[in-house]
Amino acid sequence: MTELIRRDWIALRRDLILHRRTLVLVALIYTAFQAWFVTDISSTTAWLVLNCIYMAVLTVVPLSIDEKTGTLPWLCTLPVTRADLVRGRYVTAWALVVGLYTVAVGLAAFVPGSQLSALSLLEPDRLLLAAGIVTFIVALLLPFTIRFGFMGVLLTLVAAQVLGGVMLVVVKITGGGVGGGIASTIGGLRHGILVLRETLSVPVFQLALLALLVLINWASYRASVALFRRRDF
Amino acid sequence: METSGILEVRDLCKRYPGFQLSDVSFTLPRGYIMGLIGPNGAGKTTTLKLILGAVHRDGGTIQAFGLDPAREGAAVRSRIGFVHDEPRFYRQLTLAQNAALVARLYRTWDDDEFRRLAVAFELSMDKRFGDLSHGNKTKFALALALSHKAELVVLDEPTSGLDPVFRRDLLDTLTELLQDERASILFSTHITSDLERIADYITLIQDGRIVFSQAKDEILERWALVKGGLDQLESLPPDFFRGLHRGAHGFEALTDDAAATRQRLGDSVVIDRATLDDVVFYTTGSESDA
Repeated sequence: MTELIRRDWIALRRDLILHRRTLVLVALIYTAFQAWFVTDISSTTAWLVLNCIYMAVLTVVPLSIDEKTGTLPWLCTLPVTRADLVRGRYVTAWALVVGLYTVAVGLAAFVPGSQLSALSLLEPDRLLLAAGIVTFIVALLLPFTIRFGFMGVLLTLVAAQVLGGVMLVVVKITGGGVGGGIASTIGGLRHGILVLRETLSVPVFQLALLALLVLINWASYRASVALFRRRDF
Repeated sequence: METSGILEVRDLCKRYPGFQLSDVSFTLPRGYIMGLIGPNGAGKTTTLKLILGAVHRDGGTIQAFGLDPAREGAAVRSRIGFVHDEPRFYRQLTLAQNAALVARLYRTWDDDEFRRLAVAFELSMDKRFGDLSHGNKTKFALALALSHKAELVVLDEPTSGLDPVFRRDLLDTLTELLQDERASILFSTHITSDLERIADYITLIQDGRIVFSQAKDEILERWALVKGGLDQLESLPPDFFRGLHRGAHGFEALTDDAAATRQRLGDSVVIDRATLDDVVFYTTGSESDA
């Protein structure tokens, strides 16, 4: 376990050093954006959703640097396993998300005219929602980023756009029947979550949700390792 | 448990579209230098990558320090110093920053040795890697590869971008590594004169197959260049020589059995010592007419 943590720390440190300039730039843009955001948006949930999407994409994109610089073949000659390299990406992505979220909470607390309560952003429900959104994006994007580099991110986003377009066309053709079906599915899912929360005690529900998010990240990580192991350098 | 060689490769196979590495076998004993030679695209780099576990093999076995790189890649690579023919580190980082990233991955990292080599190789540690010449990139890669007490140093065309003076110094450095007979070196190169100076074993690979893997002295003793008149070829079977070049007035050929050739042809031909360059030229080329 100590060895695992040591290797992850090395990977995280490596990524922070590698991306230091990009990260400073991202932090500046993010801070400026959030400073405006917290004064303009009063809905905490809306802010949370937009911010988490923004954070997750920001953290995934720079992690394709080894593809861009052609250093992956060299990394594979170092005394690290493919799983180490992949896990480093997940650790870095989550470390960056936590860092960015902390900055956002700070801005919500200290920017004059902020319409958001910093404390409300730290409530367990809000944190779980944030973790859920980030998990969804990171778990979806990272395997493709690790397998195909930046092109993987683009392909995934393009595929999502195409899927959305197809859905709109289908909804149009079926006269809204499918659209209604999707809406009722989402509504049903939301209702199911609410029932689950009421049935279980709140802490148990939150723990179960946290476990589910960890499981999704773990599954995404295993998929990434499997994809990365197939590559020859 | 370690086997007799620090590196044992048996029946190694790897298939790519349009190229196949087939039944590659050789053994590198501890404390020796092996040269891996062959034309471009023969399979030298693929063989080295398979040893490092950077590509997946389709057949055969590899034992490095008694370990299989496909299963215990990180453990194997921690004991190997590798220099790629086109070293790629992070262009935007300085040499010191690149070295710091690499150093943390090796438990046996020797910072004093790295600094000594950096000075000897005249590397400026505050320069960015992307600003270095090809030769200096190779020198940096060599300094890293030789700074973690590697038991096996694997070099893929390391001398191709280097000036003759540094090449000679490098060969001396590599020879010094073997003083305590702890390390071994696997050295892929086109420059066969380098191998004639330092190699103990030579493995020739062509079209993905091993032509031979033998002690260098044995090769240079047994293999020879034969020069004679064209009329003498008529009495010989077509496969008597390993390679043949016909000229307007005579032939030049390579034999892998100088003693047998001498016995059969006597003083009617001139038999000279073959260089490794001759061996590569004649064994990898086909019979040609001038």
